[in-house]
Amino acid sequence: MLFNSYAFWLFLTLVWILYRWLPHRGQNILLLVASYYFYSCWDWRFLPLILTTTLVNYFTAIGISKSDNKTKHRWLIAFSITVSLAILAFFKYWGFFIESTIDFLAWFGLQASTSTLQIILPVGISFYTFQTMSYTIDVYRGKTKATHSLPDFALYVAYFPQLVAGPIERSSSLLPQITQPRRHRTGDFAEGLYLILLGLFLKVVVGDNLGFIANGIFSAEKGDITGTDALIGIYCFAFQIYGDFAGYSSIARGVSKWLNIDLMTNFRMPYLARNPSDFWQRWHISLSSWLRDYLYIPLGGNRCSTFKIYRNLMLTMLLGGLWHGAGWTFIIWGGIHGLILCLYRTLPKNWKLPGIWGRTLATLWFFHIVCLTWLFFRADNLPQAWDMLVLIFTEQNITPLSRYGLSMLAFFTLPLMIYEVWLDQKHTLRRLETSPWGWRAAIYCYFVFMLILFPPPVFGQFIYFQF
Amino acid sequence: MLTKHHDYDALPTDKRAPSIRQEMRVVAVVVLFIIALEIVARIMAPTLDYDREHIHAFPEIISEANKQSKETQKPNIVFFGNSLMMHGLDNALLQSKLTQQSGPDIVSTKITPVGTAMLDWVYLYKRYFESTNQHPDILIVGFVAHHIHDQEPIKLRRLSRHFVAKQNLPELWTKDLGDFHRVAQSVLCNVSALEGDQPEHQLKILSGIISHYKTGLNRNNELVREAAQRRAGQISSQQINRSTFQRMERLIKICKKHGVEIWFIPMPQPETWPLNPDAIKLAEQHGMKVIDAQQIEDMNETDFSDGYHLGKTGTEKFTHWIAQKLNEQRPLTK
Repeated sequence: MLFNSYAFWLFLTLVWILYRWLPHRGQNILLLVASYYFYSCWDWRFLPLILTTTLVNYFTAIGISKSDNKTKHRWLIAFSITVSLAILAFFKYWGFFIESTIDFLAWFGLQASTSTLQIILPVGISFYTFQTMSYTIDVYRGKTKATHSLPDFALYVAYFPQLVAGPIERSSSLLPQITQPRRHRTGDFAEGLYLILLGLFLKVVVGDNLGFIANGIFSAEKGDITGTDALIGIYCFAFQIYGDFAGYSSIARGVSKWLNIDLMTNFRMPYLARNPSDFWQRWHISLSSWLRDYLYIPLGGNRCSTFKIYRNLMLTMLLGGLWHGAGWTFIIWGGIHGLILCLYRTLPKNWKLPGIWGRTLATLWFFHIVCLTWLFFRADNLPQAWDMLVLIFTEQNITPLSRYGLSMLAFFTLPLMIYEVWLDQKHTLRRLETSPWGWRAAIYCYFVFMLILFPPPVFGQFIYFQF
Repeated sequence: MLTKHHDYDALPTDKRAPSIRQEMRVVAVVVLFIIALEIVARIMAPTLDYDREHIHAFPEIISEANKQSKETQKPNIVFFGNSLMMHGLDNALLQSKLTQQSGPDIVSTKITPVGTAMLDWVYLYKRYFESTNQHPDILIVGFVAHHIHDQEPIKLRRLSRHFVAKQNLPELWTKDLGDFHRVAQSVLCNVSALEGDQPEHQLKILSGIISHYKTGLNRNNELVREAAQRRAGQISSQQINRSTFQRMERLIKICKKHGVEIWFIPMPQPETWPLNPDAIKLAEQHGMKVIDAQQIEDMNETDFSDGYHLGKTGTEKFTHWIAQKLNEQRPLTK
């Protein structure tokens, strides 16, 4: 059940009507049942997995909270993390591990063959695994109190607006909103409407339309496209993944607002970032802050020797890459971002280009660097990424395909980028909501016009479900 | 506690946030805007493109042919299909050929919306012929291999808007659409011109502002299609043989019920294509004719304008061939 499907909106309407009539406990039970139904719409066979993750983390947290024995705490947290990561590793990385081992042995002339299991990736597994791990770790660290209500905790893990593609919520933010009665807030309807319309525009209009072009170019055989086509394909993918993922997060937050529950902001105009550090505070914020809090800082963060800082940065980004997918292209993507962060760290602190032109230049420069890294993220394999990279730097030739791609990019992204620059000027995502209502009506009319007249040629899945 | 965890970009809660009443004004403007778009779409619909002009003329074409046939007692023959039949048959030339050959006197019309296949034809027939009880005497259906086997709807929006009558929507949902998303879309398209004709509006706007839109789009489609074919492998003749023809059977049964004779015409192509024997068997089982036009004498590659549709010389040869066949099949019953 996709957010951009009619079935989802029918489902939400039914849930919302019932939700309004129920008391707090009833609302939580309803949301839990709805969340499991929502998840089972993809594949009901994976429900036991999410239940296992829920139960293991629930009882671990209870165990930690009931004991003062530090050794017992350590055993419990180790058990909980091992189970969560083992499930994730088996379903997500097993095939990759086996294939990579076989390839590695083949380098040394050793032939190994094994029957690899065809494992289907349970949708959203990376998201809910990280979310539950953060809860148990926070209880272990004493930052969060363990909840004793299993339905509440199960809802925290499976809350349907953010279950399959985030944002990866923290227990300190989401859990209290579940355990305490919701109250009606004036701005929730307006904010939800804004987030949903913006999200649908990002996903359906920007992401899916440009995704269609990116898919065409990335599926071309060697020799079928020029370097200019390849470059356009990368730009299209850059906006496809942004539209797709930021769109999903925005709809998730909007839907949740209508249920009077706040989810965290996951994207803040990432292509207006001026440097790598700025970028990771704008792109997939819930994951980058998770990696910072549960990996980078425990490794020592910035408070260690220069070598260790670089090591920490590289490790964090490599694992961030691996989180996105079981493939060398994702690891290399993470590695390149790690290197960029390390290089940026060598610059003097607070170094920046002066003035508005300096800021513009930095934004444009960094946008292109990010786009180039997307090549590795999107490519089907490393040889394809390399071939396209070589093509970009050796064979620039404008074709009807690249002209079409560039025009479509401009058509779908220029209004969006102008809007984001307008938001960025005031450092807020809420500028439109505080503007006169006529402006809001005009922009919503544009969103609706684009949604009705420019749906993509192919009905699009969300990319981030595969992560 | 709750407000503390309100996301850091949120408004000061409940203070500067727009009220429901204010937001309802915004919603009202958006609703009015959609209504205005719908009105514009309905005004534009009959002249949107050649295909829409043709579709909007169906009731008039069918009723005129029926009236003429009743008045003159001549058999009413409808040439049915898509752009292959549209480009392939010249109606005026057919009439003159029949006169030259002292052939039968007929009333002939073409109902040939472009890019259609069997599913469209089933509903088109039900809406424009069956529901108005204006059946032809003979329905001549031109097609190539991929038009007659059961497959996903090619253009669901147009099918729902222009070919499926409201009373036939439940049949479309139960027999031809498997999922809720497409069912909902078919309803929307059936009631809204804006939704139903959306692809044409999109094409008009984008080709108006992007100079290489069609060329680039075609190239992109080609790349996507080639990749899909590489993944799935070419459709083998074995796969074609596994095709089913339930929709074709539905069309045959409707026509048979009303005493309409169908001639299935496998259309000429630059290269001969495999005609599924199951389809032939099905047509013949129900007493319908299959008259193969793939091997028309003297027809060659130069008779095709674009490697798929017949060009000027091809149209002449095909029309001549049809005139001959009509002559051979006499007497054509009224």
